Amino acid sequence: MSASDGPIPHVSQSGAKTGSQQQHPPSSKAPPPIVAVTQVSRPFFTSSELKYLLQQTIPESKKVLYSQKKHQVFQFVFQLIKTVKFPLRVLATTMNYYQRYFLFNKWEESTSSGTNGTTGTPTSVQEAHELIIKQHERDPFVIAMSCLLLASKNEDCIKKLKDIQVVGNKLRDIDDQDSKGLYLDFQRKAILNIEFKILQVIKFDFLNGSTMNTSVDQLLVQFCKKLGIDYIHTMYSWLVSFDIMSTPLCLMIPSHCIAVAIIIITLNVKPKDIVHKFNRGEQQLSSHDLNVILESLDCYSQFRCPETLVNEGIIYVLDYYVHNMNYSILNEYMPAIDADTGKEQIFKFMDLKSRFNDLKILDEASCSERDMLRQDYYLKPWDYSLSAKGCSRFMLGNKRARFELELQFEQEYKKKKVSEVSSV
Amino acid sequence: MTTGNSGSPISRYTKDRKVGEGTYAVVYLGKQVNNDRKIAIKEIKTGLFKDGLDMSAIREVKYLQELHHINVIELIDVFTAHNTNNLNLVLEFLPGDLEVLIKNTSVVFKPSDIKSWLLMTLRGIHHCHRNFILHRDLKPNNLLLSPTGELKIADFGLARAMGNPNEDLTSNVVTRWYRAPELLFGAKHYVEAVDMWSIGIIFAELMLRTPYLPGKDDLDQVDVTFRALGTPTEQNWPNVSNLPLYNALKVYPPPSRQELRNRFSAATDTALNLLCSLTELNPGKRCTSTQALLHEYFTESPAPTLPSELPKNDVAGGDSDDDEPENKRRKV
Repeated sequence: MSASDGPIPHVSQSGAKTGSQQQHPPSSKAPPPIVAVTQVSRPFFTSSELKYLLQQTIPESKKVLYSQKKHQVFQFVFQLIKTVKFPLRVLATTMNYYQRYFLFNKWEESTSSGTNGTTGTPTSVQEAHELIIKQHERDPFVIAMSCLLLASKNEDCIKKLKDIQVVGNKLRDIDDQDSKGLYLDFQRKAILNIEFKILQVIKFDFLNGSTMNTSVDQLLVQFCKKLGIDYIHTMYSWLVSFDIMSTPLCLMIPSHCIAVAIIIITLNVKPKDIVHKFNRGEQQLSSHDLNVILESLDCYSQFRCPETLVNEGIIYVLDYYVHNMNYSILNEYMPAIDADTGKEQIFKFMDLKSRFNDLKILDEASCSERDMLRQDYYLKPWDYSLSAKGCSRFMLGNKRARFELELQFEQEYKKKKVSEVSSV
Repeated sequence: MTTGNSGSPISRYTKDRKVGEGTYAVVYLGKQVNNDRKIAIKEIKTGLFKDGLDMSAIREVKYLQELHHINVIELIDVFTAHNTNNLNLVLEFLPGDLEVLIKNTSVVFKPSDIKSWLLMTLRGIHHCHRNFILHRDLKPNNLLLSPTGELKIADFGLARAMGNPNEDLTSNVVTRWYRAPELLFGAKHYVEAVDMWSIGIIFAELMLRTPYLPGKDDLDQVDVTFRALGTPTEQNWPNVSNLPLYNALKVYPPPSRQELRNRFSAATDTALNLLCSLTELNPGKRCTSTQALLHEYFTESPAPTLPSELPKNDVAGGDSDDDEPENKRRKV
């Protein structure tokens, strides 16, 4: 800020829509108008909102390419966090940021950022440097490193950016050692530029729907313990959570709901014969025991999970395995043919899916139509230059308030039902 | 999605005066234009440094956005301003802090005043702890005082959510004089008890009007702490000897009740009981914020002074615009 005196024109705009970009009307006395925008964070989206956003950033023809690249990038991040010894929750947050980034930023197929082969002919050295930085910024691996940097800071794991860069570049077989350290410097600038973009995409909301422990895998193990689930079934749940970690489900429902959804699936699948090395001696729970746990499980009173959100998670996870079982990590730990049914494992998920067909999931009436989505200012492409032109104000979203409202309706509905029954 | 504050008036802030500058932020005083409320703006430099947005800024935003309590500083707004990539945190303006007051020998503390400050500190920290947040840097300098006498916990730059069972935390937290014994021993797993220890030491400082355990360096801190409170042993703290830095200790006996009475001559027996349970060496036995709040000390006479009647710094004089020197001292 150059001038320390004088007012900072700052507007908390009063429009009914938030996340909008509204021009502040110039008053007669005021100096030139300054753009002021209120940004409300939105940690979760419905599936139709996600679909709509992705249509804007990834052309239909490149969808497959995007997911292939995403898979590669996530493999890279996984190796990277293993090398620098970050806990798994950093990986989960990184994947969340990466997928969130491409909801609001165009995905471009990039040429390798290692080469300086830019198309335009730069007129000055500075311009040439800027071109190189821009090129780095398009590289999904560099974007991933930026996501990792912010995720590690948010998850209280401190590591110098340079160390992350060096390890990352080594994993990709990129020679980043030049005499002046130019490569690392350009890459660093690109990473920091992207970091500021991610900060705007998440609207400076570091809570991601919960104040503490948003890591599904850790919540899951704690929940299993609380429910008295044995090692082998906890392990199965954990494998599922590891598969699901790289999917966009984390953009749709909060992590504790994902954890409960996975546990409910595990209790229904009742897996046997997981290939594992540990706790061989431990007594396994019988299918009767698992049924008892399943019967007594109450999403809301035990884990504060609204049922519709858990159902949303269940359907998503089942769909995932119906389509991707052969590529999943879970698949590597299961025998090809299930001993009970004599069929392939995938049939268990298909069977479950048909049984769960009538689960009540989120009502998307308010966001199923394209026209409605188009009216949602939040989903408009975000103009990064705006923060340079004016002020943007960042606030926490009130999505949780919405969940509470849903719950309230649900409880009132239940009460009504009970009173109806008792009156009869 | 509709906004919670739809229909709220246009709010503007002014940046009137720069009051401090640190490595990653500049602090300005200003006003919220629509209601003349005084505010402090912390402008955080981003992108300037080699590692991007500073972690303490992330922590401050992350935890203060969530915590709302009368005894915790309020984060009013977060925004980026034109022309820069800098992040602005608008905080409520708090003119004084407890450290300045403790050092101001012209102000007399009544036992009921001390009780009131301790009570407000405990209420604030109780709110943090019930939201699973550790502050990790409690000291008189971070306990700010509002013009109406309310005490508010500030500076969440070191705060973090409670650790997971299998996770290592850094023991290099909390300003040295207020560092709990488990941290002095380099423990990698610790809980809310580290904050409770700091509060115990602040309680002692309020009674003594001078720092209770002022170690000159990290090694000296160990010596000063245990000379005052006794060296922990396997008897009173099982497995303490397994902590990384538990070695080559000089063994001091724990202080007798009489010694403590002499040290805190003005304290009642109940006050001493509370002090002892806050400064319990073994973190497992140290009292929690709930236990402390329910302690007999708060129900026995005299009742805590009302915040508005608490002593204030006279140096500042009538016009609170002049209390800038105090703020300058505050680290950013």
